[in-house]
Amino acid sequence: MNTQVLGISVDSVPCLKAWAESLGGITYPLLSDFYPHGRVAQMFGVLRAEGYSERAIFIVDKQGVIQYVDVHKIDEQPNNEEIFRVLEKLEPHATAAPTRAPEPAAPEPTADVVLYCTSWCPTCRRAREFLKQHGIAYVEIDIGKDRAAAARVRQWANGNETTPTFNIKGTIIVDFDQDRLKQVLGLK
Amino acid sequence: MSLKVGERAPDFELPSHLGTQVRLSDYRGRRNVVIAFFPLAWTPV
Repeated sequence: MNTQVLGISVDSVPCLKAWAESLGGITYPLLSDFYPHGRVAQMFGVLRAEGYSERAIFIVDKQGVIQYVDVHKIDEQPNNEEIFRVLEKLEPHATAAPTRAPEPAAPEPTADVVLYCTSWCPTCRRAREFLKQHGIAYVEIDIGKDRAAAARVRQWANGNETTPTFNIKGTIIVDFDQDRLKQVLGLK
Repeated sequence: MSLKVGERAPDFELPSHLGTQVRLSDYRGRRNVVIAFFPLAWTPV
């Protein structure tokens, strides 16, 4: 869709950068409304007395006119479906175009121990240390990059992308369950 | 009170975490823009 997403918060640029990295990278720009503090949030009428903004979505069309406003409870996530409906109305032909091509089905690697993880998850880091410490050779798959692998993890983990998840010669272990790992790997 | 549907979005220019300056009016005539305000990084607030 011919749409640009912009995130905005009152955080500083280095803070947003570190946060985006901790989330494994965010591809759309996160904008820093840090100085003068909250000025843009104020212009849009969503700066709270506490000094940070509401959780709010504005859709601005190509003419620069606001087409949708949603200010929601601060602990709730926005309603993505509603946002897509508004965007489809603005750009009807965009929806007629074929959507994303299906993910190529990457085959499951044939290694004895496959670790499904992400680059940022702290438990994955501990799992790598655990495997190294016990001298276990393993193959690692970053499910943030390999979406076909992410789909396999969702099948095993009740629809969640739980990391780490292990495939040990066909035995699946969801999460870093050390006792179960030792049992399946035949460790003391 | 927040701005309303039908109002003109005020233009702004802010630095991004990708190291670029982003100006809303740069998308005028080219792209629809979804602006997502969020309270604070690192927190579920």
